[in-house]
Amino acid sequence: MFEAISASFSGLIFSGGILYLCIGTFVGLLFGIIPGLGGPTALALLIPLTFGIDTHSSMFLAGAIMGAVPFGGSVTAILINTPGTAPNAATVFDGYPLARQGKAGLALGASGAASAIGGLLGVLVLFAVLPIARDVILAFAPPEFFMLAVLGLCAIAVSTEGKFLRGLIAAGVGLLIAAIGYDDISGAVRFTYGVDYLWDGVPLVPALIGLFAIAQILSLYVEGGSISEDPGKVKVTRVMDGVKSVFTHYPTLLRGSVIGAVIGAIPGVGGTVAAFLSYSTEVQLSKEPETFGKGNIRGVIAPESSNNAREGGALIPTLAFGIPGSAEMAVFLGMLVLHGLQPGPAVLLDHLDVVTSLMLSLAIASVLASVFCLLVARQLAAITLIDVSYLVPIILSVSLVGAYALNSSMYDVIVTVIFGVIGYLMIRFDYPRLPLVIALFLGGIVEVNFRQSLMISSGDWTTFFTRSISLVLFILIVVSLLLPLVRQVFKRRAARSGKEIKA
Amino acid sequence: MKRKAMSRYLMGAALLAMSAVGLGSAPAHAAWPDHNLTMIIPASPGGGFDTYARVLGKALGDVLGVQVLPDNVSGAAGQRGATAAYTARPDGYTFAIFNMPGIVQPVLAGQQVKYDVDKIDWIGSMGFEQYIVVVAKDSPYKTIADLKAAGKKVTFAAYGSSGVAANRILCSEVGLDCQVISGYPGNNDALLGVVRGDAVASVTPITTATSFNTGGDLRGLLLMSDEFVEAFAGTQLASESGYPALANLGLIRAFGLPPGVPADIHDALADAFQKAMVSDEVKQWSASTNSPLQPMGAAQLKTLIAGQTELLTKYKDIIGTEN
Repeated sequence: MFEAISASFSGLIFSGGILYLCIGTFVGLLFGIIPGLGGPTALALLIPLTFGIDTHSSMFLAGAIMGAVPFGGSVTAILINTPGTAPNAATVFDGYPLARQGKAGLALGASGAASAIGGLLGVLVLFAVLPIARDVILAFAPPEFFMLAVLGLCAIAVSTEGKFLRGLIAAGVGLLIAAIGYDDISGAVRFTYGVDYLWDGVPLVPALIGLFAIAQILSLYVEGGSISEDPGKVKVTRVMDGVKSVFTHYPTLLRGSVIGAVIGAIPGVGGTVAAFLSYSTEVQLSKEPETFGKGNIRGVIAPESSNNAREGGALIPTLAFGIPGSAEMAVFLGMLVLHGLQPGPAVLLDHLDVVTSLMLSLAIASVLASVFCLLVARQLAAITLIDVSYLVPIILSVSLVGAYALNSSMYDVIVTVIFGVIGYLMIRFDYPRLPLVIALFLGGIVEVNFRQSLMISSGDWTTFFTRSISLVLFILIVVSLLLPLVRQVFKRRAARSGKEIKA
Repeated sequence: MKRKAMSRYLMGAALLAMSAVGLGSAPAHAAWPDHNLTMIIPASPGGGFDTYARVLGKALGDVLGVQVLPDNVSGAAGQRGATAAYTARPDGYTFAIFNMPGIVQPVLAGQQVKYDVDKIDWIGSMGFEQYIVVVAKDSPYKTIADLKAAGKKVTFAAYGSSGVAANRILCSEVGLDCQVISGYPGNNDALLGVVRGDAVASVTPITTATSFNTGGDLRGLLLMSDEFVEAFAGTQLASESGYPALANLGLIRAFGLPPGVPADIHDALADAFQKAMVSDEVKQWSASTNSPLQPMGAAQLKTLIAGQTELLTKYKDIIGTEN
């Protein structure tokens, strides 16, 4: 192990690895910031380039991209309410309200520090879990995936911004949209109306760009002014406060990182669930849940730390079984094979130095990306002071180009525009947009795993409750849904007894 | 002065005439390829088809002296990519790797598709990946006969439409009462399903099983092939067990052009394809990753596709049925 690590370090320092690491970090940040582009696109574009360089350098490049993308995505989530990549969606809950209050610097600082430390913790978890990775992965089967996804759906409850019924309506619409496309289990095609494009369902990322970037920019344009509600009062110098806040809220940071690393390690659910789960956990554990969604810094720290930690976790199934733990990992797998490495348990034995190079770059890039960005955070935060009429054309064109660049498909642009209109109408008529996104993302996972579970158990629904992990997850679901109610009852009772004492 | 202008005019006209003649006599594609080629991959980056295609694309580009740019058009089990390739301009600058039998199945199931498999201008194939039936290493079943003798419904884990079809065809050919559990996001996920006990068995490409099994979690039950495989030594062959037709089934990594490409360009590309297949780069990649290569020319490929289509047609009624 130590030989491998020292080989990686020498590759990093003496064979130009640091150069590839810097390039990867920069590319990752850029791709993370531009809505639509993300880790998978960056890696896919770079695959042909890595043909010319040796395996170690390719690992430095790939690891740096995967380490830098999550933080890049949070920048736009905070500043313009548009998650740069899907897993950053949870960051808009509290990141954007902070920017509106003129605390963009604080939020960026917190996000940067949370990403950096989360990334480091994720790699540590990866090191710790590697020996028992097999058992962890084998413990999760479709019933557990189903319960995890439902637990993720529970995040809808905390994302409704106080408009519970409207949130449920939005989530219902999201679930319906998630049902569109080729049904892998029955082989049937649903709600495509003869449009080939819809075979794979409504793609998440273009929908996300529409719902957030396009809708937000329309709404800002109509409102006028700048993103920050009162530009006169704003001081964008609170970046260091944000960094400090991460340390004062270290339990949040630790919870977020562990949730991210563990969910990342379970193939089949993905990092977006991790971000939502760590956010909703934070809200439910908080003594003042009503402050979330209105600019609570912990609402930025939780999802961002989990986002970066997830990449470390996602490496586990990728390396151990050749099963990608995230979309980036799917592309990365192809890169491994192109470089003559067959993923599987053997990689850990035969090419440990390659694995340590990857972990090293993942960890360093998480920190490097945050440092890069924090250096320019003040300038970035100044975006919130600019008159939106200057921002509209820039964000609009970048978003639409991003939507197109994803698959070079005009259909993606059409989806983006349609969801832009839907998103704008939702803002106008006061419907929360995040429940729709959560449902759209999780709908397919919930359905497939529910049906698979029943096929495996020959239709016996008790399978969800007789398996221990599945049962524990079910209890967590019940608790997370009942906790707010119980709290309310206690609060009322306390208020009443307080009155009685006074009387 | 006038004469000079006149001669200049004449010279210009002569040049023009010469170039016109030149244009008329030489074929329009004389210099093929004079710019980069596009290779459509009907899958997202990272999968088997993508990896094979990219390795070939690199070597093919070296042979031709231009770049071969991969274009991933994923979706609808390879149908979107196939449609994009089939309707591309037939100038020899766009070709594709096709998902066989993925693009034949919807046709057999009676769906409307925008391509005609018989009209694809085949170049050649990189390989023919046959299937193997695997169970978990601690499974009580040692042969396919044991599974039959179990006398109860057997569960099979499958990925994708081709995988579901392969599992169902095995069950029908052998006469097993089976429940195919579909919906896994990848072949490895389906195999993991077998290891953790979601299903008893799975019909999966031999190479997938080989690379997955470096940890020794699986045991072979039946090789749907005519040749033994080192990684699954001792596993019965399809012919030995009395099911020779099963060896016709497999994933074909077939490359083709849209219909209507001039014959000389087809020949040049097919020639370059064969050269690329025997290049050191491709061979080394194949050896170090255990990715088998079976280079095939257009004629051989057509025979293989015909044989497979026959088998699929025989079972077309069970391929499209719902779970």
